[in-house]
Amino acid sequence: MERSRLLALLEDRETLLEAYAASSAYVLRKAYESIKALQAFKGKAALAPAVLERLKAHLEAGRPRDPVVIGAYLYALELTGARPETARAAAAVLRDPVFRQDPLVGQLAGRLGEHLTGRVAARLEPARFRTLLDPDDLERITRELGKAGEQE
Amino acid sequence: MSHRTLVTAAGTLINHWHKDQVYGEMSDAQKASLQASCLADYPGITPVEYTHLDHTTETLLPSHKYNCWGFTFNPRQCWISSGADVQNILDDNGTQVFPPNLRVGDVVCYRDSTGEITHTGRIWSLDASGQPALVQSKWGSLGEYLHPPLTVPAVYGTDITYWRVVPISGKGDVWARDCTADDRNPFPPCGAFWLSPDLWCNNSGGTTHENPVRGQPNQLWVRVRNADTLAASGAQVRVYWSDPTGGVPHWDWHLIGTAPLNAPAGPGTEVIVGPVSWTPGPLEPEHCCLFAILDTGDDYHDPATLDPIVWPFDVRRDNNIIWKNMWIIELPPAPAPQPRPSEPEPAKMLRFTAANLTRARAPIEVRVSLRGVGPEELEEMGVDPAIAGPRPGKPPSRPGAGLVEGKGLRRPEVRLPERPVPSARLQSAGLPASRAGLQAEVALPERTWRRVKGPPLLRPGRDLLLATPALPPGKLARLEFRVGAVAGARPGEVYRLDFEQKVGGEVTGGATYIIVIKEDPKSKT
Repeated sequence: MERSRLLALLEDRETLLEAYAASSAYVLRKAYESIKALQAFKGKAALAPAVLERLKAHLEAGRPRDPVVIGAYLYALELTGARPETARAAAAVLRDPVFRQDPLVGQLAGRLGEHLTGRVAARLEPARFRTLLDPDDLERITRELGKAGEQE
Repeated sequence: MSHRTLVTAAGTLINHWHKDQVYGEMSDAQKASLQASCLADYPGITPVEYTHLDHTTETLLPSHKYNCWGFTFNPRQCWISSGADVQNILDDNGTQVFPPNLRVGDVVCYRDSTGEITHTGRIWSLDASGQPALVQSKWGSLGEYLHPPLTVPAVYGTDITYWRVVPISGKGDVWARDCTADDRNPFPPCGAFWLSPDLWCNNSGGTTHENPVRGQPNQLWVRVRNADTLAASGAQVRVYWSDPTGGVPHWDWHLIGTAPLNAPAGPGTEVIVGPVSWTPGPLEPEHCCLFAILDTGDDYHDPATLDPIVWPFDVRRDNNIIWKNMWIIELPPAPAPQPRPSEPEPAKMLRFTAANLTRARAPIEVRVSLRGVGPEELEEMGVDPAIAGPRPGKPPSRPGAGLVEGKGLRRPEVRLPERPVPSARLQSAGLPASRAGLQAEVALPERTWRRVKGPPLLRPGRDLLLATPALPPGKLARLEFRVGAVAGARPGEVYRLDFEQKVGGEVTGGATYIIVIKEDPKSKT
């Protein structure tokens, strides 16, 4: 799939429909995993800078805020395997006061950040979503993500 | 973010948030686009239509206002944050239930292959075997739909369990009973849910029900309970009349008036609201249905709305809505048996109008039953047992004792069809006085009815079941009954004649006549 069409998937409501049906961070994550079209990002580290750039554009003030789209960008970055870009993206989402307090995409970014900073070794497991990360946890993860992004 | 504290019965806090306040509501274009995609991807689902109290309707489109768990446990008010919160609700407030003992309104809980809770909804309808046929649920940020249990996004999984859940606290919950056994859940275990004890007419300020009197002011009252720790203020009780059919469409609910509703914080508080004054005019039928809606708001978009009506005009489903379809009549006792009776005994003509209010052609079934009632049951129905007046002699050993079929009792026949209502009296000749009571004879003036089961002579334990062929939506079908006392029916006896209407296998409503055998004061003069 050509690059622009691939990137467009991340904002396509039809593609992301199952994610719009999610009521929690856990189900949102599962929904992204179940969307076959998104798996095309797997291993495509070269795409990561472009994905990160578009994500940051979405976070700019004045842009319509769609947490399902933001979550799709995070998931796509994770699939690419590009850890620095993924860490920067997660940190950017967590610095945004609106997305940070969102129990879906804010928690998704927080759990992703935990994994990227080595706070938890395993990949995102269902049981990890049973409790919500509190504001202090999210603050700490954001700081650690910032450092990790700089180091890498 | 939230102005409420939601807690389970064990005091566990329920995390919740207001997505619409964080992001704003979706644009109309986004709602339309998501709805179109959803309906295309999931054939067999139906968007939920909400009928407002002003009779306008609204399709419950994709919305940030609430999620599936918000719909299920705090209807249309918020997003409950995670499956872990739902697990706490089920643990503290729920009891797992299994087919075929499910009820409409029970909670449907979906889990994926790892056992995590992914989605909830409520049973909308059951099939003949007691399995859920349709579920009502909100799909995340998408719309609210009626759907077969397994027609859902694959991410919800297929591991389904059913729960009966006591409402959580902190969300507001004023309610009124459909019957004394009402447990606050949808479809409470009530037989005649059209006999709410919490709605009555009493022109002396009392708490028992009397027939409203045409052409004069009547006082209507509603008993409201508050099960929640939040007080209800600034709300109102709306009282309606309608034609007395076995299922009343919302367009036949005619507003009589309103009264302010302020219920102190509970749980367990109770207030009587009213009176709402009503002078039935000549256009209103002598025997009307009464309804009351505890109107705590019908605009779920408004953040100030507390405990909004979930299922407007749906008596069985919504615990803010009650119905009274009871009419009290008096019959004089029959004269003493004569070897050759020459004069008809006094009888009254009673009517019941059945209605198909579904959206499809469907047959209507009406079950008619007649039995005696004692003072306790009358009290339970909100009727003053003193209506029976003084009872001469020894009362029957049990309610309805006078209805046992006696030797030699002649059964009136069902008249088929197109026959004028028979003028024949109800026979009582040769009936032992101790076995007498009340007889009801059915006339079938329309070609629509056929007798399915039971004798045309009503007596305890042998109900009469009548049915129509499939009728188009909105079609009415009338039944007329001639009811008279037979020899031995004594002053002071009270009977109830119940009409229960079923359409598509579901009881949609009914009517009850309370029949009091009473000496006509004129006859003594």
